[in-house]
Amino acid sequence: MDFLGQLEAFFAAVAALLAHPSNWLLLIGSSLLGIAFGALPGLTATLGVGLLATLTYGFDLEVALIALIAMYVGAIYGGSYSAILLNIPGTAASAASALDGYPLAQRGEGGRALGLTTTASFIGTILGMLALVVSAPLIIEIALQFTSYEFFLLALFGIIISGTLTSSDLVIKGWIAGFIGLALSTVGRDDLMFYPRFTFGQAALDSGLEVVPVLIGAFAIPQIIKTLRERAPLTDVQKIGRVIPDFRTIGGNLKHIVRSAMIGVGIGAVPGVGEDIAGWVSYGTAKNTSPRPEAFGRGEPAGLISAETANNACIGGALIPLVTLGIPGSPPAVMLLGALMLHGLTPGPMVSIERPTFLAELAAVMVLASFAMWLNGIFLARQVVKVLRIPTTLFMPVVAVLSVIGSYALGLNVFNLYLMVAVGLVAYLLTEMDYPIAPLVIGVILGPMADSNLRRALMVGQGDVSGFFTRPVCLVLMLAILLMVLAQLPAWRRWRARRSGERSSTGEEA
Amino acid sequence: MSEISVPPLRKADFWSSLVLIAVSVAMLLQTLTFPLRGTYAGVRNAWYVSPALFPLIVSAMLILLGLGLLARSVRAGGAAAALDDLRRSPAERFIRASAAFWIVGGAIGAYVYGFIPYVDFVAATALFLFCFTCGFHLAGTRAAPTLLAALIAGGLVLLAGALAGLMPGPRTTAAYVLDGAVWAAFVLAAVFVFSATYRVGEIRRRSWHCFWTSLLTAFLLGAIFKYGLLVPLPREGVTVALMDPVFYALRALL
Repeated sequence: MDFLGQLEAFFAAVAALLAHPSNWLLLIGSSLLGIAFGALPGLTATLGVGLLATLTYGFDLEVALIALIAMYVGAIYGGSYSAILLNIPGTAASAASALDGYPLAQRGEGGRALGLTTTASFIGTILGMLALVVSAPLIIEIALQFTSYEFFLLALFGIIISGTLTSSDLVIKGWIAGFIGLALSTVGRDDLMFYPRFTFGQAALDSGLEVVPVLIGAFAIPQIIKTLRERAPLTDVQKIGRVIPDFRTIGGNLKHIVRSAMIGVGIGAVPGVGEDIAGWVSYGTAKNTSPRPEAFGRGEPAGLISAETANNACIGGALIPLVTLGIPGSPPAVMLLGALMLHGLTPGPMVSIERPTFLAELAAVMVLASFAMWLNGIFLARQVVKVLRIPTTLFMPVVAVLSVIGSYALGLNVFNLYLMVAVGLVAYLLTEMDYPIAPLVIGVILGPMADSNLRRALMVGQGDVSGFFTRPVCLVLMLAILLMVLAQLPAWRRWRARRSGERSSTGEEA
Repeated sequence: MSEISVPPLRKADFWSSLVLIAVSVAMLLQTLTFPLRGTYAGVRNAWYVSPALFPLIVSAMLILLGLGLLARSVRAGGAAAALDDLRRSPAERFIRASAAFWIVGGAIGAYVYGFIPYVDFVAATALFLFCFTCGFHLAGTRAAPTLLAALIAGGLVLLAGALAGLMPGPRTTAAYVLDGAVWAAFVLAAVFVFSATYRVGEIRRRSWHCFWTSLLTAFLLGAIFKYGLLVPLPREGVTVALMDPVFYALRALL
């Protein structure tokens, strides 16, 4: 579909969505729920999208998409509430916002700080959406030329890069998590020959592991255990006063906004790397390029605006690989992918053929979700803040029940509950040992794609692997994978250090 | 190597790499039983279309990565320190270090594996939530550990009953009696908590929070899923049997 066609489809989607008052309610309600989820420390955007996916399972795709995107946008923004008012980030995405938001609130400017984050988050989401709309058709155009060779390597690339970038300890642990995900994806009858693998005669395992219970277990159970273990005492919520958008400060920080949006989109587009990293990178960049870096951490609006713009722009960025290649860009996007698959829509290049208006519909929902978030933020912030007074010891058990009933509701299968708890407990142990969870769930999702495309590619070549070495995109992907792996090898690092040492000594001699 | 110089993560890496290698070898051995060549279900097989191909690659990669992690741990002194820990400290230290895992995992496990498949969802949820919220919201009182222990024990008893084939089928008199017993347990737990906490105003107030949170959440979620989203509950017993006429009467009125 050409640009004008997409534009027409966008406005048609906006009009269609606004034509039903129930959609307005859904937008505002889901956005509010998202803000509450983001604001409550211990609850995350990923968990919110996952739990809502189970509730919207019976809805039409369009309606479910409104709820899920509004929840996603709201939750990423909502994390700033507790960051600003409690100095406890509601989500990891808002950790950087606490550095300048809390000092602002302590000075009695909580309302102004919330107004700034509301507007910055709104602009960030819109810029992220624009990046998605502009880049997605180009990437899809290229991706439509991909064959099984490229798709296999793309899945492998997604797992390796998310493993590399999400590991806070050793990179090898990220790769292990990714391959554990791939191993889990092999359970059940295989796509090509229908042979039962690792089912141990259990009929419940024949169709493989359901993705959404695995996702809910992997994200919810570790979060519940960690939050209840830490049992953060309730602290005083700073007074917020009137929430004002403060367009003058926003206008004065336009360069920070544009740069942060670009950072957010770029980081969001990397598989598995999410809003938290975008917020920190953007904050760090704003501080390093500021003429007054010493003001950062003491209530500098530029710091707050940069972090919040980037983490919301990351949403559009994370949707770029999701929509174009079927590879989620961030943990909440993983959940979104699971939800879309539940509705029978598998994102990827083929979506532009199967549902040509999908991108325009997604953009329309993102725009409306951003407006809903802004309106909620400006007019209902004082009410939403009340949720910060709910102790984690009361709502975390409720989240446990929601995870249980949500996992059950998808297939009306008690086995999904057993699976969810087992995966959750293992995921907790892994997170305790600093294994990242994002590559694991990406592995579970991309596993079938890697498996079937590898075998299809080999079938095309009758067992000949030379196809992987003769296609340009394959070569680029293989080179990228190879470099990422080599960069972690001690011998390679020593060689690089030796070379840079030689180069600097040559420079000094010169 | 002294304990201080080895980061705890390197010790954990030693154990996790051993478990990973063991599981991956088991996966590899199981994969070798899959048809690599020959004919399966009337389809002629070649190595490159074999269902074993991908699991073989994945298990081999996991073994390699596990060995890499093990080597890293050994080089950093993690293996020696982990083995030294094993000699010096009994399992008790491990259990204490991961108390939250055992308590929360045990409570959720009891709910999912013990209560959910055999007890009316609303009753099971109310009891689980009351014990679970009290266990953490009333931390420091004697009621908290008692309720958590009772919840986990109850789940284990039900699971043992199920394994012994003693659990009644759905919508039978025995099933309704079991549901009634779970509601009775809820009332008993509430009486126990309020009698243990009525002297201290703040704790009493928290007990009421737990009581209403558990009761309202159980009924609201049950009603939303059953009547709003038309999703049957995992087990519909005595509570749902009582909720049905109320719902239909309300619907007729509206």
